[in-house]
Amino acid sequence: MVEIKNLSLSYEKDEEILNNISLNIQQGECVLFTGKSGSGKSSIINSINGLSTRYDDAMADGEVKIADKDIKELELYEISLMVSSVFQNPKTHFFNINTTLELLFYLENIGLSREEMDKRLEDMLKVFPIKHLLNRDIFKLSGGEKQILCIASSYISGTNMIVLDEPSSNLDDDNIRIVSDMLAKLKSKGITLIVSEHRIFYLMDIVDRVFLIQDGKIKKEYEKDEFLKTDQKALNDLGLRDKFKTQLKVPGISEEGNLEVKSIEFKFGSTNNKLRIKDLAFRSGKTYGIIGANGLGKSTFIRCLIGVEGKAKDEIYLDGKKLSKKDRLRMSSLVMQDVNHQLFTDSVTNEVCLGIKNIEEGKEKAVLENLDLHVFKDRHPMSLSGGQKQRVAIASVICKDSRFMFFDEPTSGMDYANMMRISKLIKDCKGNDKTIFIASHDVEFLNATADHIVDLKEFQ
Amino acid sequence: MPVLLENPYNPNPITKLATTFLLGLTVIHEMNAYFEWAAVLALSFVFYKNEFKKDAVRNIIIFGLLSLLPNVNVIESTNIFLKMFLMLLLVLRIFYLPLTSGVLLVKTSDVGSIISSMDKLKLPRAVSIPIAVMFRFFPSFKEEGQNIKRAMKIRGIGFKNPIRYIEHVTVPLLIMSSNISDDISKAAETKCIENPNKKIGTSL
Amino acid sequence: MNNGKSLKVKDLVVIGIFTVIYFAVMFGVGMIGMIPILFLVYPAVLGVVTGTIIMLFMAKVQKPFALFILGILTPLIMFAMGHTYVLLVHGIIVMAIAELIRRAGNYKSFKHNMFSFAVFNTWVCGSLMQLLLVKDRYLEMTVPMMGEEYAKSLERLVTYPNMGLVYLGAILGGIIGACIGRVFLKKHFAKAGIV
Repeated sequence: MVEIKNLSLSYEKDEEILNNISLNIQQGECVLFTGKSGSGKSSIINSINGLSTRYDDAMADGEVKIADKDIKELELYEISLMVSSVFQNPKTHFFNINTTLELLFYLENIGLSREEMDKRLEDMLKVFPIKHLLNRDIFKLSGGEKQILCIASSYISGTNMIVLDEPSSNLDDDNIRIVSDMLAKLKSKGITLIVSEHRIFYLMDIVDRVFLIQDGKIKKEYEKDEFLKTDQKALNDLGLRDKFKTQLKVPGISEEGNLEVKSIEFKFGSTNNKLRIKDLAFRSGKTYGIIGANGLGKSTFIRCLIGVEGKAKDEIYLDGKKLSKKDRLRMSSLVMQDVNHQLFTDSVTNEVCLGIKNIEEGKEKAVLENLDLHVFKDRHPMSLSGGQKQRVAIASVICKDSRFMFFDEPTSGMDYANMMRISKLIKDCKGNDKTIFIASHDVEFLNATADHIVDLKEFQ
Repeated sequence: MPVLLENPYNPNPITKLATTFLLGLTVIHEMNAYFEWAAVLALSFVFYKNEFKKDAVRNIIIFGLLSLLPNVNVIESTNIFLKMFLMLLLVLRIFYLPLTSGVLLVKTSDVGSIISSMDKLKLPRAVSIPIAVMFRFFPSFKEEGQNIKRAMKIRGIGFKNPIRYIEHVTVPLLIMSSNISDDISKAAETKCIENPNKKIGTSL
Repeated sequence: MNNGKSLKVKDLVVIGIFTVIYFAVMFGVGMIGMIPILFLVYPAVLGVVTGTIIMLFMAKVQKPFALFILGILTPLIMFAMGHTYVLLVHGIIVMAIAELIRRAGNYKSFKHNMFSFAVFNTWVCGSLMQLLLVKDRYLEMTVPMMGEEYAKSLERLVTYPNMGLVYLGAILGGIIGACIGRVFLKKHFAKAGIV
């Protein structure tokens, strides 16, 4: 079905991403590419669906054949007639605003008749009962619902191969379970699944073969049984997340603390849903994990605490003194989920000093060195890799030295090593007078980092 | 956006656009007052039938007030701002009909019907794809802008230095937009949008 | 990035996205157009502010008709929102000229792109041209309100030669905007690797 022969991939500056990859994938197989971030596992996916050479300006050597056709000779739409793609970030990867139109978009483009579309839609609803997602505004779906829609639309397209690039990276546990079930159904229909992922527990029942990718090469190929037998610690060292689902081991929140949230009330945009928080207390010197399913309002809660949600009604006290939104804004700093929103200047040094009055001599230098960023100090922050950008954002937070530090999903899409690194960085930020808040659904990360957990489900 | 597909009183976007165009002609070729009132009432009727009752009433009241405008006498007044304001209202009076028709078009048309109208008009893809993308991107753009503003507020970047401020908004916004642009076109291309085989209109 | 010279889906998506950005900024700046008199300098201000956006766009899509399509989309939307056909026709003429200038520079040359943007920027003068066309009717309505004298001074202000000055302002604003855009391109976007 898929034949890859001596595939090498590189970007302009002789940066080699893939080195001499050769493999075959049979029809109906589920194959997993795994490895560290930057190992090249996603590039293999993008070489199969043709995006790497057509979008990322990569140069390919060697051969990728799908159903005996060399994809170099094909237009992107011709490849897409054989392969459907599911992307890492469902937030932006869609073309229509209405969910049903998005589902039918592919069918319309390949020229199916209206009756046939209805038939396919009905068939799809039998396999995936997602009637509640039809005819809705995609912008009002949660991240998990969007990813479910993406997978459903790759089924409705009728291709017998689907490639998925880290499909779980922005999902919470419940949605990962749903995605896992969907993939199992797809496999039972005989559809070839090719997944790149380092969070692997949800694939363990589905996968047939696992390729471990390291530095652009196939380090090892496992049959399923063999892979299940390998030692967890060894996999962690290779950058992989846990093979089995981890249980949250962090205790709940205690009753007392010097930062008292008497109440927060926030009405979500057009819906009637409200975020209502009552009687929570946080202590200085502690790190709090904030959990709750996609769409429950973790980010909103954080923004309300910071005081940046103008419309929120709140009553919050620190050491018995009432804090206004403005007070809190002054005392807070935030690392956003998408750090691209918070990088404003033209060099890393300027970035970490931005908005801080009278920064101590040499402080920013020490911070940058600590985060391994000093070599990039004159680079444009936006030219760095995702992980480096995030460290720049963290560096700016550390320089601001705020009383309250907030992290919104700091580890989405991260492999084990990077996740542990962020965990350590956050632990280093801890101080007696500081309170740290982390919104996350990453259980392994919270286990390693947080002192207490606030579950937003309890406030519904 | 309300679902208006089934409403018999909601003309398709092509009709609405043609109406806007025709009413635009009244700006240059003056019409008599009866005709204008008939047009205003017709527009209000369509607003009303599409659950925009407030707009229906507002439309009649505003046009009534604007019609009275030339009778206001401010020759004696020395208030320059009042004069300027009235000047602006006069401009509004002249362009009122097409503008209201435009508001009607925007408020009562959903994206799907606009896109299928474009298909019916056989607009070249070079125009119809960018227009479809505009609808798709606009909500993202609003979201991104909001996030950037929040980030700036938390970082304490104020409006004190307007040029710097504009730079700090522009850079992340344009870079984010470029990224989203790639994502949208990837989503479109992996769904065969460039397939040259003739499309059959779905007109959903 | 620019394989082939015809517009691909990718380029069309970029056009759609930059139209939204341009339109939003135009609307934001448009608030100053609410104050009469100031709307005479509005085209110049618009050029200064939007120069960066359009220069970045031209750097991203160096292909025929890209600027032309982006350029007619905005008047097209304004037209759908109730402006007269004057604006649209005026826009098409302006964009055709801008496109030709760009072509002369093979879509790459900064100098040509700069002048192209300066011309591009005059499309918004079309909304003032609409006013000129209805001038008589407007004055007729003004007389009973504000008196003969006021109407006369207004008549002297809004004339075709004065419109020429507005166009000149638009072109100058466009040139300044393009130069600011170039600084930004070098300082940020080239360094960040998005062009």
